[in-house]
Order: sequence, then C-alpha cells, then structure tokens
Amino acid sequence: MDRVRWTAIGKIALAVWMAVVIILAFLMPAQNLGSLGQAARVIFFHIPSAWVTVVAFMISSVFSILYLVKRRRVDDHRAVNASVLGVVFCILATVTGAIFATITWGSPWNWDPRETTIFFLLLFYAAYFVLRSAVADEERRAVFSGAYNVLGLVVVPFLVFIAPRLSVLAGLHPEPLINVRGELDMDWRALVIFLSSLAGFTGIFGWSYSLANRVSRLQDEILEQD
Amino acid sequence: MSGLLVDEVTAIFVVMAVTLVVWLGIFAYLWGLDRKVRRLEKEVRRAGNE
Repeated sequence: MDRVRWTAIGKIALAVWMAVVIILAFLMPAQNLGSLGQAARVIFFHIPSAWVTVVAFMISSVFSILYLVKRRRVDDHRAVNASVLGVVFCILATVTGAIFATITWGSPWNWDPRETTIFFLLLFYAAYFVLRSAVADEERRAVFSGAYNVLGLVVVPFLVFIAPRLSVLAGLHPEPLINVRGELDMDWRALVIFLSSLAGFTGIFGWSYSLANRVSRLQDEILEQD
Repeated sequence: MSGLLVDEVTAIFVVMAVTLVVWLGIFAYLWGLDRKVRRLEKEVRRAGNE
C-alpha cells in the first residue's frame, strides 16, 4: 500500500479516535473529575487546545529563526502557517476557558492572571500579523516578521507557564495540571481520556499544518510556472 | 441554572452529541480540503512536466 493510502487510513483513525475521546469525555462519571463536577469535562478540550497553541507558536519561532539563517521562502511559509494555527487554537482555548468561567464563576471574563496572559498572547500574534500586512515587499516582510517572531520563544513560555504561576498574582483559575508540589493530580480514567485527547489534538494540528504548507508550496509552484 | 429545560443527564448527552457533530464537521472540512489539495498537486506536477 502506498503512502497516500496509509495517511488516509491515519486520518480516518484520527476521526474515530477523537469521536471516542469525545464520547468518553462526556460519559465518564463526573465524580471522578474532582470538585468542579460536570464543568470539569472542559479540561479534555481546553488544555489540549492550549497545548497545541504553545506547540504551534514554538514551531513558528523555530522556522522564523531558520528563515533568518537560511533565507528560504519555504521556512517563512512554515512560520506563518504555524502562527495562524497557533492563533486558531489559542482562540479555542480562550473560548472554552470562557465557557468554563461562565459556569463556574458566573462571568466569562474576569481578568485573572491566566485570562490576562492569554489575552496578551493573542495581542502578541495580532501584532505579528499586522506587521506582516504592513510590509509590501515579500522578502522584507519575511525578515521583519521573522525577527519579531523569534521573541515568541521567550514570550510564549513566559505568558503560558511562568506568569500565571507567580505567587504574587493570585487567581481564580483552578490549580494548573502540574500543581504546586510538582505532581499530576488526576483520576487515572480522566488521565487516559485527557492524554488521548492531547494526542488527538496534536494529530489535528499536524494534519492542518501539513495541509497549510502544501497549499503554500502549491502557490509557489504555480507562481513559478507562470 | 441547571435543570431549567431538561435534566442534567439529558443535557450531557446533548452536549456530547453537539461536540461530536462539530468534530465530524471539522473532519469533513479537512478531508475535503485534503482532497482538493491532492488534486491540485497532481495537476501542477503534470503541468510542470510538460
């Protein structure tokens, strides 16, 4: 069987995998999810979204560095495409978080440390896209936005992992997955579903990213042929 | 707020069904996109070989 067949099977498998994850995420008894009850089911979607956001933005920064070093157009495409997907999943994480906030604390937005930092993260990448649209020349656009994007290597981990944990900023957000003692505090059934969802979301990102890059490559090839 | 229109058990099934539909919709979109890209790639490759 050729490669196309295998990837097709993989994609169908992903469809089934995520369907099962969704079913289990909702059928799993709520009492094993801790004190938050039914609303806690959001972790199966909210955290994987945030995880993919970080992965996507990190990949984007790496390709920006690669572009600045090697100056290959394809690396710029890979950087932008990863940034776009990062923003998409960041919005998903923010919205699922707001849904959870509405159920648990009565209002979708409270400017607590986690919510505020994700807002800044979105602003950071909004600025990236504004920068790109402001530069007409393709090469200069890639260089400027590449340089800006390298900052992401510091900004993203800081905003996502460090800032919300600073004890100086007490917040509403539930204890992060890895708590203050450095342990993972989750019922094993929930953990299995959670990790499966994480894998599935990563697969969705991988497929979407590969599609985006193939489209960019097609655009380049078609332009070349003219 | 809970139990306003349906009981909690029904509500969970509804949310699950909606989530499932959303996922299958996204999957169908990605699959269709993948097919179009594959077709375009074949065409461009053919045009490149002429």
